[in-house]
Amino acid sequence: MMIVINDDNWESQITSEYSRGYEQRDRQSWPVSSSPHAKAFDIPVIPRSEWDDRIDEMERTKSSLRHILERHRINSLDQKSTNFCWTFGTLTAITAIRAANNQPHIEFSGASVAAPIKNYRNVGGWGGEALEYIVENGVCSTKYWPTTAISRSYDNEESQANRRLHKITEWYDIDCSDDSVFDVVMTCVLLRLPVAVGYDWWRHEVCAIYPVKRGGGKYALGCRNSWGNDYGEQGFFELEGRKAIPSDAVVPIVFTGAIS
Amino acid sequence: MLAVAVVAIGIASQNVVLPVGCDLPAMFQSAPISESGFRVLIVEEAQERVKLPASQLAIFTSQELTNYCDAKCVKVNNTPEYRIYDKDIQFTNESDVWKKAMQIERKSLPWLIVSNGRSGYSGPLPLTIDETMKVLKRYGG
Repeated sequence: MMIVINDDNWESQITSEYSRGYEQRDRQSWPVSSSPHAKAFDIPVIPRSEWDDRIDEMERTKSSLRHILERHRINSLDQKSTNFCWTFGTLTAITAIRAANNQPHIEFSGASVAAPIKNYRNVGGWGGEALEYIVENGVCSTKYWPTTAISRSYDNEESQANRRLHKITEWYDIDCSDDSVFDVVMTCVLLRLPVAVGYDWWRHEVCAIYPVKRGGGKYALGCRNSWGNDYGEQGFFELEGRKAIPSDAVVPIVFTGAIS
Repeated sequence: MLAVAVVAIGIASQNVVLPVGCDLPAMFQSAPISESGFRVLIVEEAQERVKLPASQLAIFTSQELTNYCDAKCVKVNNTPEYRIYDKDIQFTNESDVWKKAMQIERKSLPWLIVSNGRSGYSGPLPLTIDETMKVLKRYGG
């Protein structure tokens, strides 16, 4: 069943039993695009006057990233009891990019990124931390590191060789202090660019995947969570109203080409 | 609004609309990819997608194109051999087929390469799904 989170029902979401872990980004230490490999978002925003037609075209041709993920039968990631949503949100974006490229599906390990960053503690973070780590070190397949295993024993020669195959080479850092941030994120998903979005109110990070038209000039953000397939519709759900406006947003653009 | 000039050409008595500036002889040639089997590659610039008409952007991930490629492309390790790659992608352990295909000369973006191992197309990506499917079906059946 589709879950829609809005300004009227959001409180039920912060008392849910699921783990989260997004931590508010320290904007003094990490101003926008200050990370070594991040670029400031410089794509022109698509005017709202074009959104309806573009969403209609996307639906008619079944060409959104949600359509692609569903056609490839790619499951929602599941962070289980870890506080690593900020890494799983970025991995959901990478998975969508690879599916759109038609690269063979690889299930990536959230813990192979988050655990080393946090010195093997089960604590929160934000998406840019995960992306920078994946630029520098890569992410490995769950064949070499179970996705929620917070253990140094998996950081071995095999997993290190595998993670070097899978790196982000370009990513955008979106300025969320700007009033236009919702329009920027909608532009990305209209262009089939997945966005890892963090929410201070929810203390959670998810991945924006597709645009939703509500009628009357209103729109929602279709996202995928990292709570497994039982949440929403195979992990997909929608954010609307003020609750759709992210506190932090990062966009991986290009990921290395690898078949295993 | 982005203005895109077009030129109509004949492919097997079907009209295909392409952006102007194409080198027509270069489009219809011996197989751009020498390995046997039907393969499709679209090369694009992800950061420039906003400049494309919505109808052309939809080609990349459309159900019609992906279903056709799933059915017609040769499979390697169960994966149909079609790819949509950014021009700046760095390969780690992707197959040599795609590494070589990315080296094929391109004169603009997005660029479409279609090959059945005997003949094929290397030219600008048409502006609509219908026109792209005509090119694919000429070589993929």
